[in-house]
Amino acid sequence: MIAFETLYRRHRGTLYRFLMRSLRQRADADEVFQETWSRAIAARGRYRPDAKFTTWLLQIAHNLVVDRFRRARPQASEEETEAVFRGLDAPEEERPERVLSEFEQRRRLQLALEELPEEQRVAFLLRMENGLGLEEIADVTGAGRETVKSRLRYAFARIRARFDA
Amino acid sequence: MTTPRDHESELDRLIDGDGGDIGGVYRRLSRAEPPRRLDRMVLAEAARAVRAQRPRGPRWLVGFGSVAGVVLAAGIAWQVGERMQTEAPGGAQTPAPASAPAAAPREVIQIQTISIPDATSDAASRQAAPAAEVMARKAEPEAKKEAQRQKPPAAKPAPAPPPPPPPAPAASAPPEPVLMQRRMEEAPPVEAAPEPASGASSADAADAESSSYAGEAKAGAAAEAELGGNATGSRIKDDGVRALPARAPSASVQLRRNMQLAPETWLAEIVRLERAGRHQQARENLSLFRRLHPDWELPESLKHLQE
Repeated sequence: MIAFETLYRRHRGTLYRFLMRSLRQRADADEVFQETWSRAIAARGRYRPDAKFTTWLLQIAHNLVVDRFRRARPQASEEETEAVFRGLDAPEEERPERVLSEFEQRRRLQLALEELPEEQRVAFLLRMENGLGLEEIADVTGAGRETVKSRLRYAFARIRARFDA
Repeated sequence: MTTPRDHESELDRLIDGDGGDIGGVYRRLSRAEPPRRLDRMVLAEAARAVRAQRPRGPRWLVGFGSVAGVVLAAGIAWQVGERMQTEAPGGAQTPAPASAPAAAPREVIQIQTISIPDATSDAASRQAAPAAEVMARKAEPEAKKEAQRQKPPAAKPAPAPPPPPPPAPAASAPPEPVLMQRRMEEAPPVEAAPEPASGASSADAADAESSSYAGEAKAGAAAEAELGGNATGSRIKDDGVRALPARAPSASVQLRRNMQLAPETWLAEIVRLERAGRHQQARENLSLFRRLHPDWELPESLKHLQE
């Protein structure tokens, strides 16, 4: 029990923020957070000590997030998302470059993350929030390493576009 | 305005480094924490899981104990079955000799005709003493065999019953153990064997009788004790078989039958035997009569027999 408390204290914050920024709704984040830990407790017998606990825990959380997205809304294709994103950015491209305030930077990043496609957002969050490398993100999401790298590239380009707008 | 090259370098910093400017902004975002109620719920669920896991050991032990008990019971049952199977052949053989002729020795006793040594043949008795010893030695194995037959049979079948002794005349043949039915009432009446006529044979018989006189006395005492005052000799309780030499089975049967008579009737029977010339039988009856009724006044016609 003490070991579990140690693990929980270590990972509760990063997991919760990952869920909050993935799902964007606190109620959803709370529900998935609890469900993630419940599944981790129930599946503790299948946990292999040689695997990184963070990766294993985030795999569970990622699967729950994907399930929730599939139930909540129809998943837009990457091309459709690109088109919407391009349309949103178009008017602001004509604005002059200006220095954003700290608050504005954070707000724009928050908006950019919310507008990112799910796979790109997850990859970005796993990299920035949880500090995972390409291999670990590939393990969590079940995608290939190059696919993860491509998703990160797209995510970065869109966020940068938001900042440069 | 950033160039594509700047984007590539920032991407590399995002992937391998601190994330560049965007990474810095991300780290300045609000760091939300799960509410405490979520912490409590998750930790409580973990505690429940741990508590639920603890009884798994004892349950395993209970299962193991149950299996061990079943195996032990099966082993005991198997052992008992094996033992019963091994004992069953012996048990099945037990009634065989009991129903066969070998069972007869259980229900019969060996008795010897009671006789007193002939006063006129003392010399012959002294000469026949070694022969009597030989006969006694011969009788011992017979007694042992009889005792073995009386023992409960072991796992192996009991030996076949010995052939019945031939009713040879007591003058020439050594005294053989005589088998008599314990329940004499049920036994058919047997005619008394003819009395040997020659004096030599009479002397031999007397010697044989004198050699077993001690056993005869014991038999008489036992019979007296068993018969009691009313002389119900039909119910003779004998612990074992007394291997005593006897002369003839018919005379013994007659003697035992006479023991059941009233004293007056018995004395009349003795007188009748004496008058019929069956002196030996008369003497035997009188001897036994005196043992059972020592205070009874004998008639004059029988006193010479007593002497």
